[in-house]
Amino acid sequence: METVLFGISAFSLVLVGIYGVLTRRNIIKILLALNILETGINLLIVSLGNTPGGKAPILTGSTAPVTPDTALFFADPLPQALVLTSIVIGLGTTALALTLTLRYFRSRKSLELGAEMTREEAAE
Amino acid sequence: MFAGALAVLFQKKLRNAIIVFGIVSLLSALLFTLMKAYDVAITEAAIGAVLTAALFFWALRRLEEDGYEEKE
Amino acid sequence: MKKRNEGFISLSAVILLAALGFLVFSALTDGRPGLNIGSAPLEKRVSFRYLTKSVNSPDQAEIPAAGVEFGTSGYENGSANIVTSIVVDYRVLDTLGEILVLFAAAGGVALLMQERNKKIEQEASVIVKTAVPVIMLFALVVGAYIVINGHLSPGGGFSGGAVIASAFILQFLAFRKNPRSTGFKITETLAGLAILAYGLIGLFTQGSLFANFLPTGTVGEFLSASGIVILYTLIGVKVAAELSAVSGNFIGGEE
Repeated sequence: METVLFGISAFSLVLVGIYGVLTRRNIIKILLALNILETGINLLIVSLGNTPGGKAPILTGSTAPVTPDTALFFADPLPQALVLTSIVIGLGTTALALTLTLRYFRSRKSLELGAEMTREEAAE
Repeated sequence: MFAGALAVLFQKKLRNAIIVFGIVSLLSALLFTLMKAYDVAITEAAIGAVLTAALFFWALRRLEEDGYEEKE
Repeated sequence: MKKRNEGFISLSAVILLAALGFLVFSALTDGRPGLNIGSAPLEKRVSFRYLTKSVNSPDQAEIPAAGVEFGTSGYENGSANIVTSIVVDYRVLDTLGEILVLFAAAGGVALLMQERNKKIEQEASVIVKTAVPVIMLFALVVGAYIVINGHLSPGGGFSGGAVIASAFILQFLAFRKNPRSTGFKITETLAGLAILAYGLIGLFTQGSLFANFLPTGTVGEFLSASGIVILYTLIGVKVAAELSAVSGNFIGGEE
């Protein structure tokens, strides 16, 4: 039941992110919506590996030995490992997109989509 | 989470939108903790909530130095 | 600039998203076996092999009957944190690709960033200048702890690298030191070459890239798990240098 709750919460973030990318005019708002979309997808992937009432996949001094029977009570470690990579890649994408936004503004003096270039920049 | 994400898109000023985005990111780190994914939670809190919001603020500072003003 | 009809765009976006939501919902709750994500029992998933550390054995008869226990040795991968063992040992080629993407992004930011148009710069106040060295010390120690203990507790190279980078970012903001120094680039390059060298040593001594050529010790000791400490430390140093360089480019300042 709580897996469904996590999944619905994550998917709502995905839907709001796609809506933001499609309908906003300001480029910074589009980038914020893109980041919300990436966060939502990461939440969705990790929530698919959730085991109800499970334990975290770390062996400590107080956990029982992992036999083929007791391995069912751990949360799934594979989606967590893949999402770890995805979060860092999202940061790299955002940094590069913001650099291009700074160049975009300096040549067009406006942060709206579809703005025209100024006369001096177009002449180069 | 749905209301928080909508609040990011419909803010009037850009600084408020970035702050609400930081809150949504921190709440998602909490959600990762509830799903028993502790590595992912600490990575999302350190990179998503802190560094991404800081990058947006620095970019906004450079834009305002170049002469950006919000309409209306 | 063409005029946009805001209402039409919003309405069509909402209709598109409703259709998408319906499709995803019907895919996730499909009852037929093999189409539903939750229908695969945990014994058949590959995570079962990662949890019981038996990826190299052909069938389940090779798993020791006592299972994987904290404090014993002799497994194919001796790390106590199973997510770390996936990221650094079982699926290390994906991590190599991610390091490459981060390197390309940092290089792109350094190439495309333009000069700053600053007019008046304020000095940081006395409170900030006094508090920042103390905070930097704590941030460096906590970051180094998170990086080194990647195989025993949650954390690892990526989050620890971000914490170490925040110490350098505080230094840029408070003391206006040179944010474009070449020390970061040299550190990052050396760390990347060392990661590749580690992989190639594994290739030449045991026949496969990034093979475990150091002994896998007991689960739970610090000096265990055959080079995961070395690899995660190098990754942490590389990520910290890259994030500091990207932030330094964004903050700007004099050369």
